[in-house]
Amino acid sequence: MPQDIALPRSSLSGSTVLRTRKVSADRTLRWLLWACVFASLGLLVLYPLIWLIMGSFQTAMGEWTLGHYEEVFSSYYLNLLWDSLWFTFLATVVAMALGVPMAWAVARTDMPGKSLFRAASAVTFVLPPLFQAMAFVFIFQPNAGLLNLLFDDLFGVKPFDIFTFSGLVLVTALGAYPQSFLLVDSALRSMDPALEEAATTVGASRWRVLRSITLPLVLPSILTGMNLTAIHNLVVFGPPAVIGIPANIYVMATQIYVELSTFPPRLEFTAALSILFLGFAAILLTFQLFVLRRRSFSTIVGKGMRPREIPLGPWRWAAFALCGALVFTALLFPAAILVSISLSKVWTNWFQLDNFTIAHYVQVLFVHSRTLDSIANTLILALVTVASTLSAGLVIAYIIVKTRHRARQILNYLSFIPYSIPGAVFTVGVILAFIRPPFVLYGTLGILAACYFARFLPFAIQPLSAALRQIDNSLLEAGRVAGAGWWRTTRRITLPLLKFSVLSTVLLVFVACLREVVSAILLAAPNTETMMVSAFRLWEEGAVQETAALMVVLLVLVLVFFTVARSVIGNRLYD
Amino acid sequence: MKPIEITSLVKRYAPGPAAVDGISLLAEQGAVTTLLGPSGCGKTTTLRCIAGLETPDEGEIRMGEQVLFSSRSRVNVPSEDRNIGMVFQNYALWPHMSVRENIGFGLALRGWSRSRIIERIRQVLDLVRLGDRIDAMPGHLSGGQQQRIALGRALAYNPEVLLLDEPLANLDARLREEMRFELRNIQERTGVTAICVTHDQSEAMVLSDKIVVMRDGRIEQEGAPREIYERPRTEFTARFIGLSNLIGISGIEPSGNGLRGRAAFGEIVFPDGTMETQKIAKLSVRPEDVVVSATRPDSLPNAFPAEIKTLVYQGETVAMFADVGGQEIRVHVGRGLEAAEGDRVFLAFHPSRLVPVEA
Repeated sequence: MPQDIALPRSSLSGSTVLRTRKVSADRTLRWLLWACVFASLGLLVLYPLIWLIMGSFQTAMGEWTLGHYEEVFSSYYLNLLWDSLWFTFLATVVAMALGVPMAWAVARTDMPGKSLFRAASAVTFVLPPLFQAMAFVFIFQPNAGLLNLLFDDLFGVKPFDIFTFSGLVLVTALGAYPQSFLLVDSALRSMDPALEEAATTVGASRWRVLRSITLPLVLPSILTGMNLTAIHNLVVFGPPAVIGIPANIYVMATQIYVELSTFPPRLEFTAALSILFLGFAAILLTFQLFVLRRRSFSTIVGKGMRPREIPLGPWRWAAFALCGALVFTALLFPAAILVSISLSKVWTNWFQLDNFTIAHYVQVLFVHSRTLDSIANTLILALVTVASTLSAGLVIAYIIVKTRHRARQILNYLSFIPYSIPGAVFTVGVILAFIRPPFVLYGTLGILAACYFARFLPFAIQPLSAALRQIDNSLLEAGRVAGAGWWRTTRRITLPLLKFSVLSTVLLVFVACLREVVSAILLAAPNTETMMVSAFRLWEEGAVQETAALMVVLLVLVLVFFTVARSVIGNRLYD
Repeated sequence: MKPIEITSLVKRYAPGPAAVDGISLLAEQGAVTTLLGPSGCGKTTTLRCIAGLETPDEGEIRMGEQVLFSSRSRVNVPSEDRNIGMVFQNYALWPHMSVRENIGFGLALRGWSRSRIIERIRQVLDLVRLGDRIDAMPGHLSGGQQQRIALGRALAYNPEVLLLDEPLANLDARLREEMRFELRNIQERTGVTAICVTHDQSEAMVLSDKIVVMRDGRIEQEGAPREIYERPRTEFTARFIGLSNLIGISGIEPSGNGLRGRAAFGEIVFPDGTMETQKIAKLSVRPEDVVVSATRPDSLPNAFPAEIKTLVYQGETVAMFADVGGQEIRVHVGRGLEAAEGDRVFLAFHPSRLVPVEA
């Protein structure tokens, strides 16, 4: 039995008979919750992983073989692996070069427009990278790209070609820079300004303070940001799909997509390929967990005095222009291009009044059954995922934080496994597991719901367990001493205290469901497309304006929910 | 070692009352000057202006002959060029540097040779009695040790002035009491000019040669600790420094070579101080200066019948709360007192212990 808060029985009030009944009802309830949680994690996390591994050793007919691994280690796939790593490395370097200096300028100097840059970076962080990739293709594709057409009109040349390795790297980096920016910015902001002031008083110049104090102190955050950026770039699907594939550049995530899109799909081989992919992601993740975590300095002390801003003089406008250019290129320009294309009759004409139409929105939102279905599917899926991850997340977070049960660490690790696996890889396991009896879900929305549950459960557990940790045990103990049973304590004290964390969790999981690409594309059947999948398919079919309109609708949804979530988190009452 | 002189310093953070509202003060060479006041009185802002961490709006700050800041002649020497040492409230030891590197940083910046630096680090560590922790990282030191390293770091390069921002506030009570004397001792041995900020009046008493009491961005009173304690000029100072009974008084007129006035419980005589008679609002008397006796003391003026309401044993002394004609008077008496709650006694205020204060 779970031994949560150990209280001497004598401290519970009430008559003996009443108490015994209450306690045994509590026990049954708790036992049921436990059973549900373990069963769902076993089925939705472990079972797909077991099939991923087993499948990689089987032929399509179910016979055991090592053949897939022989093929994985052939020169084509080793080259692919090399390309993936080289791409990841370069995109990470570029993203860091963009994000870290901007973080410093925003956190520490008197550059104007800081809150704008922070907000824009947070928005870029949450929007799917597919969005920038599509917009950049519209602008820079070799024949019909808008800027190429403009140059053709003016000078008779079409100089740009997005379908290159460097195009892919740059667009990916534009979507990835917020990873390091947000981390380093918050590290700089939470750093005790007295540490830098102390260096000034002993006689260090500004430059020296930056070099000897600030930089070493935020170095752990920079490294963590670099690692997160690398993980992001290694698994990202959008830019490699819409820029890489036409350019004949494949990375791991897109190769998995290609293998499964051929007929017949090579499921078992893809499993073996996925395991190789997993190995590289695991290296980065291990680095994250075991090397970087220990290196941070706890510098968050002091009375929260605002750090002095370094006056840049006239350079502040240069810094503003550079940061502005980045935010413009990464967010505003692509967004404007998508909006204007979605409102154009002829998309290759620049936006003009006689070219204006809302027909594509009407088409997407009211007429086209494919996009209508995809909107319904997306919303159903998001609601189901929110409900399932939230309820499981509450129980698991409670067990991990508030009980001393032996199995709680197992539960913790188990629920975080999908978080540490590239989405495409885990999805291959889900397909292998649920394409065969006893659980045939392939081709239904159910398989998407199963996959989303496992992949987004950590998004719920993380904030909920952090919030639970903030609730002092004495609050719950006071409830029990006052005579409330476990369930009543949970219902009347714990859950109300968690209200705002629950709300923000709901919104964040919802956003995660909206913006998910890779799992949806690998799992979707023609009648179970999500908005992202429909947009991608419309894109492949060349329905440019519908793609743009659907993307705009999706971006607006993501932004609305994300903004609400942020304002909720910003106004937490109980934490 | 140089004195610090501040003239008409003003610092505003936002429209409205200034955080520092035109203060002038002199911190004498080789002495400890303490800025004392409740939070929000402007003491920390003043200190940070001296350090160059805040830029004042008006006024002048001089260190000896050198002008550090002047709004009129538009001088503002950057913090790093002022040659000051500062101990921060949370010590602000750099967590990524060892004790040696923390102390040596300022020396290296001044271009000292390696051998001189290491020699000086050892000297400083001996001074703060932490010679064996030279290679420790700050995170592994106790609060008291961090405090002493911070002090050592600030003194290492022989700064002209040592600034201390609530240096003992983060220590536990016992350590704080010890460190007061230690800090005083180290300052005396180095002879550095020190300016200290605190809200703890007993800390200020022990540490200071001069106390500057601040309130709402202005100086309320300044003087030696003894003067501040025994001759408070205003009700605020009397209340803020130590414990004080404040007796409202009216109808003041000359009487012999002193003054006479009416308190709630009767007529009271007191000496004529330097203050104008019209300004006198109350009389301040310390709890330990009130005389208690069982019978009316004929030799003392200002004796009034009283009833003991409460007796509280507080260790060194017993706190007695007595009712004198409707006013509560707090008296600290020795432990030998034989009296019980409800007893009727006489309280006498020796005129020389009655200090007239302004409102």
